Amino acid sequence: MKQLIYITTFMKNFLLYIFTISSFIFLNAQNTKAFVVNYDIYLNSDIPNIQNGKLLINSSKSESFFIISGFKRINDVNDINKNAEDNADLRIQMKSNKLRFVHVKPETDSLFSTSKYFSNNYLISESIPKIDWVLLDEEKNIDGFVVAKASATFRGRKYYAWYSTTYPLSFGPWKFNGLPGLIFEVYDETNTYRWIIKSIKKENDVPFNYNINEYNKISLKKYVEVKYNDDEITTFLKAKLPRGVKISSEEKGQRNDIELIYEWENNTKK
Amino acid sequence: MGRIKRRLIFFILVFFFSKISFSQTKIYGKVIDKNKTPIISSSITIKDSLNTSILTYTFSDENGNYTISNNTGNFYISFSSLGFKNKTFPLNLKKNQNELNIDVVLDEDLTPLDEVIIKAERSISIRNDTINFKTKYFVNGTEQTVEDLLKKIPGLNIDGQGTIKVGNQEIEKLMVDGDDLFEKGYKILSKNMPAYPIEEVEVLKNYSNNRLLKGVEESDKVALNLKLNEKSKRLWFGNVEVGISDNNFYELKGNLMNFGKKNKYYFLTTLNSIGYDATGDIEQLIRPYRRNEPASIGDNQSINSLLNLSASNTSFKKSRTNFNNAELASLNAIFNPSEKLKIKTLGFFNWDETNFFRNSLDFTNVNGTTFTNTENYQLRNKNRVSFGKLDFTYNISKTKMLEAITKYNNGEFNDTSNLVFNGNATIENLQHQNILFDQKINYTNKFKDKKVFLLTGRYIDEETPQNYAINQFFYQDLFPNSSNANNVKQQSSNKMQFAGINAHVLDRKENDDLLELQIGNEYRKDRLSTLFSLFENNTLIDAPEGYQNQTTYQVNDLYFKSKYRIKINDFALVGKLDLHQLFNNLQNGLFSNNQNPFFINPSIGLDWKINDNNKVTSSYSYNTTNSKVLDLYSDFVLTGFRSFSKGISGFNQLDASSMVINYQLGNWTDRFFTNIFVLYSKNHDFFSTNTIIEQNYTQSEKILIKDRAFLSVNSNLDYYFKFISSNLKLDLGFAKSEYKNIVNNSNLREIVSKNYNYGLEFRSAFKGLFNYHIGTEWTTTEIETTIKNSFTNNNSFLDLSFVFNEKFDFQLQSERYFFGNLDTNNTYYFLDFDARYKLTKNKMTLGLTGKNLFNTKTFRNFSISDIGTSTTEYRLLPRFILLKMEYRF
Repeated sequence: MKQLIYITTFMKNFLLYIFTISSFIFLNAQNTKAFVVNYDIYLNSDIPNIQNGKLLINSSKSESFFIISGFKRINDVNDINKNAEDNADLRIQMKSNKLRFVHVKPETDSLFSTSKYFSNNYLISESIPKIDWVLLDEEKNIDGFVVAKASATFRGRKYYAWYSTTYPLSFGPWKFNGLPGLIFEVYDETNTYRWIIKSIKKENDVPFNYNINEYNKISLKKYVEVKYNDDEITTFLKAKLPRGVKISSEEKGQRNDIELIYEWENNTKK
Repeated sequence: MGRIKRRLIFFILVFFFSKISFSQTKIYGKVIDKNKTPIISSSITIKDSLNTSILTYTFSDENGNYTISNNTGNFYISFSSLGFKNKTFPLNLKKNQNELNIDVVLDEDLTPLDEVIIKAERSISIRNDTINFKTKYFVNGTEQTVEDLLKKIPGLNIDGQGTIKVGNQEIEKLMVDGDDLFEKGYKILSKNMPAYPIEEVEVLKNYSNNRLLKGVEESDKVALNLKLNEKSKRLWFGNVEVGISDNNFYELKGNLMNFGKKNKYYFLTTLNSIGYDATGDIEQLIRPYRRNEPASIGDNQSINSLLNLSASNTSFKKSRTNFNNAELASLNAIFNPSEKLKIKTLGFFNWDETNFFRNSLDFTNVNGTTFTNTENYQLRNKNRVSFGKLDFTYNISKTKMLEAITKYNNGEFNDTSNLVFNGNATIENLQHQNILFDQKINYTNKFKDKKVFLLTGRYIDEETPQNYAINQFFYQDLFPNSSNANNVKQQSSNKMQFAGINAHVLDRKENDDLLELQIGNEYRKDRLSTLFSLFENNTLIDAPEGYQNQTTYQVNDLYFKSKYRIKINDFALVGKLDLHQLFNNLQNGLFSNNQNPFFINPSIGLDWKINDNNKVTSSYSYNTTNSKVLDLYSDFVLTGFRSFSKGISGFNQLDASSMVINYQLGNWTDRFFTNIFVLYSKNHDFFSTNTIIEQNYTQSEKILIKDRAFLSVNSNLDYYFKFISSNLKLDLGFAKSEYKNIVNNSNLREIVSKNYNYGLEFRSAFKGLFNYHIGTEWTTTEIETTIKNSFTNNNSFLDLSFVFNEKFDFQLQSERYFFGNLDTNNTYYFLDFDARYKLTKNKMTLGLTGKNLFNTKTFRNFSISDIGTSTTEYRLLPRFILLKMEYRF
């Protein structure tokens, strides 16, 4: 008797299972669309500004593309239609810029990011950095979404992230990856850098494309070498100082980028 | 029901898990969809037995495979991927279970994903136009003063004088926890305050002195705010610096501070005899410079003295010729009795006694008059200045503010010179005072989001009485009837009263254009009285006619000013139109005159950013200015021991046009950067002089002449040579001025003066301990009247710097001066050094400073003018070596 109940339940479930499968075959168009998350990026390292970040995850979730655009001044935030930028320097700098992005391809364990350093546009390659997130027992509410807190130290900065498991995605803004849910907000403890979610939507899945020839291809190690150790630029700025300015101690150029230290550098510098 | 549910779950587990092995805790498997397509990057999480906290998680790879490890116990495992329904199962991991295969088929989620807009709470730590630097990320512990600290902050530049710049722009003020103690005299703070209490540095861009004008007025000002750490708040801290030399030179500096949340105090004292002028920035405290800023009415009102006995400017550092004995004390406090009220007080006392030595040989050759004067001049200035300022700010509401500033200055000066003039021993004595009372009240109302109304009233009362006496009588030729006179005196008083009211509306338009309208009335009354008398010993002989002034000059200026700023793409256009209706009244002695002129001052400015590397700024203005009291007095006044001058005794308005163009190629941060600046101004009318020059005196009278022109072109270029790690700086300048005057009853003489300067500098940026900075500059001056006179000087320097390590550094500075027109003693060398050794980090520093190591006693200088040439010799502070110790507490 018991066996029979099991079998009937089994049959019921099996039929239901078959039925649902067939129904989905016709309806799975849903998953051919790319998943798009928009972020505001707050950069307070130099001249405070907000940039737009667009995280594209293709329909098969095999890669992500985080595009950084726009350079609006903080005081224009409340007035998005206004295009008057007091500091034309910034605007012009943008005009001449190439597409800026972070491209993550787990299949080949590769991450490509762009950077402009003194008129050179670099396409920097590295393997996908592993971020050791510590999931914290803390939750909050961002506009109706329950998000959980996690923290990690990554390349010299301590970050706090708020993620939502409603969207089980390991991709994130910039180089952030590996949380059990979509990052809604992430910031470093000094509040110098902050990414905050703006919207989530689906778009038609268009392959990511960029012209690789527009950039100088370089490995991350090489790039760090160029930027910090071959400090020609900081050297020549020192040479431009007027008389009477004494350089009393040889100061190492203080890093103020998102990444302050790299895995292979020894940690004594701080 | 519960039983059925449990069974169901068990069944599902059996159904989905094709293989279950009972050994350990590695869970692995594959996540696929209905079509058996692997689901990439699906999330696998293991939660605790309450199904709340995530214990561990992983993602499936590009083949849908995953592995995850966990401890034994009761858990929930859930599989999820975007676009699929979640699947969660209870999971019991027993001991000895080392592997568990769970393959999962996820059902697609039918609910379509609509666009979700998320309004996340924006962090308040990000504020408009504020850059916040946490100092701990920038310092390396070698910073001693705030200045050292600021040098480490990216984007900030501090030059040799301590001027702090953000990019290329000087900061407006340096605040501590939002309170400002020093206005533009911030160097007192930045050079003295220790760095360690500072936790954060805020750079405030587009800063407005009046908080309600923020975002409305056109401001490119920058200010800095230092935030102190909790530990140093309400703590007394400060430092003492003592320096003693082998030959009685000394220096003492002390700072004592206390910064609480409500009250802040800062005491500063400086005593020195090494030629250091500690009052350099006092002027900024007495009269903060706020040009073109709303509510700045009256800032340009002050008295100019007729007579000065002061050290003349030399072509090098003042500290080399300044024999001083300065004592300065300053007490400053800020009180915040309530959130709405802020009271600032500033008190300032300065005593100084300076000596200055000069020997000069003036050769005059004009219109057939030729003579040579020799002067051996020793000057002693004693002064005592007390200054007080009370600043009271009341924030009525978020949009309304009332501010009252009261200032009082009292300066007592006693200047005595010992002069040997052509062999005659002469003593000059000038006792003078400066008494200033200044009251300003300002009401600001931000009546709409981008519209502000300001009403400002100001009253200033300033007077400078002077008593001047010379124990010789050089003017027999002028006063033949008083030939037995043997000394002269002049008593003068110059009083100014100013009262003004100004209403100002700033209206920032929707499209960001700015409209400014002002209407106001300014009244100024000047009373100048001078009394010149000839004495025989103590007996008054004569008060000669034509040498006594009783001038009262009243100007009432009723004005309307408008200004509009438009920005179109890469162009910015500023148009200004000022309308003035003046009511002038001049009373010279018994004569009184009135004049009511009306004039318009237009100006236009255009900025064009062609592209990132090419920028042009330009402006044109036409200006009419009303003459001042010192242009208008009717009789002669003694303005030096052998000079008399006289005003024009009537009303005048002077017209001038000027044009400025600046072109910039590249940016300062580029390897190549160049800038060209052209200024041309034309005075359609100007005051020149009609001068009688005699060996014992000159008498000059102001005259009104047409057309004077001035042209100045300056260019500089920077280029960095990589192969020698050095930067080349080239400077080229040219200035030409054309004017006319009358000397010794000549016709109107045309004078053309030209200045050329060209120089180059190299500065290295080596990574090692050694660096150099070398430079040289030639200046050629040429004056052409009926005769032509010209000379070329050259200044060169070589500075060497050695930074041995963090504790010890050594700087050597050498200078060479060459005077083209001196036949002998035309080359001078100077050598100074500075060594510093940090005994205890942040606590105690030892230093050794040496000045004038070649012990050069005098310095000769050559100059030319339209009436002749002069050679001047200055006495220099002798060589001294100062042992310095600095201690922080």
